[in-house]
Amino acid sequence: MAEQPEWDTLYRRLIAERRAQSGEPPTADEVEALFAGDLSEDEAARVRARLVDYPELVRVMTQQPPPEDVRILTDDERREDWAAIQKRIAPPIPIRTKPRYLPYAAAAAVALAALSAVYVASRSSTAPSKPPLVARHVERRALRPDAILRGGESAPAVALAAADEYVLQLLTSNEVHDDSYRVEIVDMEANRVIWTRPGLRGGPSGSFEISVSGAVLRPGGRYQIVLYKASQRVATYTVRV
Amino acid sequence: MPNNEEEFETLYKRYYDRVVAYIASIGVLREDARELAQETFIRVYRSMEQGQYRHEAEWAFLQKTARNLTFNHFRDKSAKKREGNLAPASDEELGNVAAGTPSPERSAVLHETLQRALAAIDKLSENDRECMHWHLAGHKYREIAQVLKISDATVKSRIHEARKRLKEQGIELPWPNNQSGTPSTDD
Repeated sequence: MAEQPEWDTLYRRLIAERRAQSGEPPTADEVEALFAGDLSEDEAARVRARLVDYPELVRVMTQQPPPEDVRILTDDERREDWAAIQKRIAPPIPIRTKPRYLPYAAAAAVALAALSAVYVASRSSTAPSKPPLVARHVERRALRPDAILRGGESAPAVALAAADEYVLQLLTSNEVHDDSYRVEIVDMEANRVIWTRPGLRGGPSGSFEISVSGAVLRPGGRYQIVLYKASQRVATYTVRV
Repeated sequence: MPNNEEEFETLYKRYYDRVVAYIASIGVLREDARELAQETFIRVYRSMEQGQYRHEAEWAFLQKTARNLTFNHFRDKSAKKREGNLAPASDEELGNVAAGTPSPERSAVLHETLQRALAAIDKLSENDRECMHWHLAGHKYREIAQVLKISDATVKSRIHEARKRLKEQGIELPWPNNQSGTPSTDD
């Protein structure tokens, strides 16, 4: 009789193999509908077949919450997390679009700019740079092309956390030496191009870096980033936020 | 939005620990659980801003938000593993790192035994077969019962019956011991 640890290793390997073959697990909505009994028998069987090898996803849906008065954080951790949340929900600094007292405002702005320049110049040589007043959440991700991942099947979307700005590195298997590349971002729901950047030059490792505002890639959206060389499509990268 | 901010702070003081504990109890590492809990509260704050927050069901709203974020956390991790070719792990990759890793020769013997077991499971009745597949994948009886919408006792009885039939065919394995909790999948 074999030892349990050996078999546990074997079971894990079996599950890993089956996961690799079966593709994406069901979504939270599908599993929620399964547990709520909202699916037809056929649909439920299909969701179960894609869920069976993901015990952690089932556990998410079945785990009972702890009692309300549970305390597991230290006071410092609680303060730290509250500060982190406050940073991310801080309102943006309002921008006045129509100044009412333009001459005074302009004069004040010039004076302020001059003072700021003197201050910055005096600080820059001695003090380390400070973080901005309003923290911006920047999501940095390296993305692999869809085609390399899936060999022609529908591309799985890479999940991006909602952010104020996205710095995305588009990886390619090509060597790129000129600046004839451009990137388009397609909103897959609206099926239209919502952002474009021409004249891109690749990095030495064959990758391109783009910086996209959070106003373009919105939470709940699904997007396809398309890399072109001239009019030829080089690679696509599917993401969701 | 002073009202929202006051309510939000009250909500944080009352429920933040519970949300972190809830996410951690699912098998998420503590530091990741804190990040997911922060994201949960930010989503709730945004819902308050947009007037979509359900004031009358504050814990239900928090729990559902935390649950969906945790679900997607696991889902994205498994997608990354598949995309990065991290699974399945080969014998070489596992090497002697894991305490339970058998030698390549031993692994081949065990693999063959497992294949025989899987073939025998495929010949069981539909009900017993499905229970055994969920059991082999590491689910607890309670979880299998909830997915298949049957009682815990029925799950236990079907698995017992299935093992008995396999034993009659000379297939007796150390089946997964899922009932005392499986190792964290958040590694």
